[in-house]
Amino acid sequence: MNAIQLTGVKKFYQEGDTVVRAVDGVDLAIAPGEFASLAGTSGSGKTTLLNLIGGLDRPDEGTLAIDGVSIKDKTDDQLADLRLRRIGFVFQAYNLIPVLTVYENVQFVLQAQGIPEREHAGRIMPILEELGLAPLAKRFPTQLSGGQQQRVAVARAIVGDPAIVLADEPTANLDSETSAALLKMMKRLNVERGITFLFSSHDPAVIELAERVIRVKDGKVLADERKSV
Amino acid sequence: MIWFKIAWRNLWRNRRRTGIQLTAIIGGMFLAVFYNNFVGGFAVNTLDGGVRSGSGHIGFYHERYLENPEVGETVPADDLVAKIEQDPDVSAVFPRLHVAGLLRSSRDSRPAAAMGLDFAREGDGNPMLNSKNLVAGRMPTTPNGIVIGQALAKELHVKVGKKVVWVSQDVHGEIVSRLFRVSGILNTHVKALDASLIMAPREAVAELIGRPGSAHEVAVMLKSPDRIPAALPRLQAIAATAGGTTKAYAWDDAMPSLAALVQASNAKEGFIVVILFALVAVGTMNTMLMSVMERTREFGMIRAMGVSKGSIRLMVLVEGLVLGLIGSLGGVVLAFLLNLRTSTAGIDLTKAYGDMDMGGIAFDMLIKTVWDWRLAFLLTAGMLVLSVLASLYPARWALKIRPADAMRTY
Repeated sequence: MNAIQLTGVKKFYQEGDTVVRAVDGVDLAIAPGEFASLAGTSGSGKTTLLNLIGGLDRPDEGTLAIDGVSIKDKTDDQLADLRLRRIGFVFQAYNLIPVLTVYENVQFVLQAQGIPEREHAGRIMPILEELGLAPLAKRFPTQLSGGQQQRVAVARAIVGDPAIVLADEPTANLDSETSAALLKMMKRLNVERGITFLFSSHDPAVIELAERVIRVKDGKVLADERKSV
Repeated sequence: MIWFKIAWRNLWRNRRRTGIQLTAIIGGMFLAVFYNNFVGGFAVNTLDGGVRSGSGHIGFYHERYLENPEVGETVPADDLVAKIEQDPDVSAVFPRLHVAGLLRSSRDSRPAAAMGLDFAREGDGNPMLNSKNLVAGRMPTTPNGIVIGQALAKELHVKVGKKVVWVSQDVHGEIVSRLFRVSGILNTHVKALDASLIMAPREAVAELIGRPGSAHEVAVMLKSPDRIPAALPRLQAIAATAGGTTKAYAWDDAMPSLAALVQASNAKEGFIVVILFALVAVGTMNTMLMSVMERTREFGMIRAMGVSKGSIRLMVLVEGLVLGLIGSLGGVVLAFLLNLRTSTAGIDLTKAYGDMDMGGIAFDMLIKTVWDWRLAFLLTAGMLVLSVLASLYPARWALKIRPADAMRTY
């Protein structure tokens, strides 16, 4: 059973009189534990594809399944619950809650999952230690560098114990050195925790680090390359 | 707990906006609570002054007297007073006679209204007999002593010690008269009263009208107005023992115009509170809506993370609740602090409005505000409910944010 399965997925947008074919008949299967990248230029359809996989958007055509379960007929609340428990998100602009500290940003997910507060520290601190964020636990996002904020976003994405992490251009706002470090950290989490990672990027240096590169252009999958590591 | 933390910290993201709205809530709450304190004080003044110089908390009357007062419609006061005073809730009993007639001096004559009362019983308890109103002489100590209004005294050209003749009808319709000597001159600050009122010992007036021991009104003061419902049936039972024509009435039945005045004050108070709260609610809604709209991307991200609609709604409502809570408490504390002073020193409205009277009853215009915890609590609860209600629309707006759109657009 694939972690992610897309069959004939299409998503169109109307922009004025023009129909934008953001995703145009994509067939894709991501196996559990893969570390894959969606590669393509800006406007190629990477973000829309990630949004569809994450249930943030609904396809106009085709079927989409997470862990073998179709999300086609799920309500908004059911999709939200699926995201909360099975999918972690990392965004290009970090999107941390500015009024919460590093610890509280990560804790927010556990709170939303309804996990008792007494268990929070036991789950959050090891992750913060692992990502080198423990000394920054009490800082607010504005007191962190871009790389640190993105690491917090990764910590937030994995604290809820998801099966899949979707990352939309996670390194777009980072310098090359920080980008490489973040990718290596994500890879380590992929290996150690068995989390499936699917991230989008247009940066060749970042894409290079992925085990599988799915090249997207004009809403279609142009190539699907697997590398042996 | 995290929702309160987020709400609290979000409020201070835009300090100026939150500060302005908090000022509005604090101001609205302060005005609502303090205005209530003032109206409460006014109602106490009005009621207290009104019932003391009128029917008392409970008044005994001939069954036809309140509708159509006639000299002969009296109650056997002396018998009643002795029984009424036995009641555990009674603090004072004032039997009174009210007789219209003519007061003549050696120089002139004027129509007047005589009030026959027991000066020793009434003492300073009757606002009209307040010693500060006595501008000359003293209260009568003999059966022939009489106190008259200052304007009446001036018109009749009489001073303390002078003789006057009171002419009226007795209970049989016969013209009767009696010589009195002016022992005191009174300024009640009510023009109509000062130009027509005379006060004489009740027994003298009762003898003059031919019904000794009687009164037109037996005003009963209770230890507290709260005791009226409990005491009324007992006093009605006492009235029943005085013959079939004597009845006991609660003050609002005996003095419907006074009850209407108090009710009108309360209604006005309610109306003003509704207006104030509505204005504050609109402000709160605007503040919350701006706050939510500014955070469209944040709400989109939170929704993308899988946080339920219920939790997002809770986030916004709690924020509104916290805003309302801080503002309400601030307003209540301000009103409480001001009340500490105005409840003792009072607010003197005499300069602004002059003296006030209604139906021959003079009211004290020094209003001592009254603190009402129950109402402060109710107004706070009302403001909290309103803050939450005002946050419903912003919360609905937040729920409509689609994560994909929020990420794409903003």
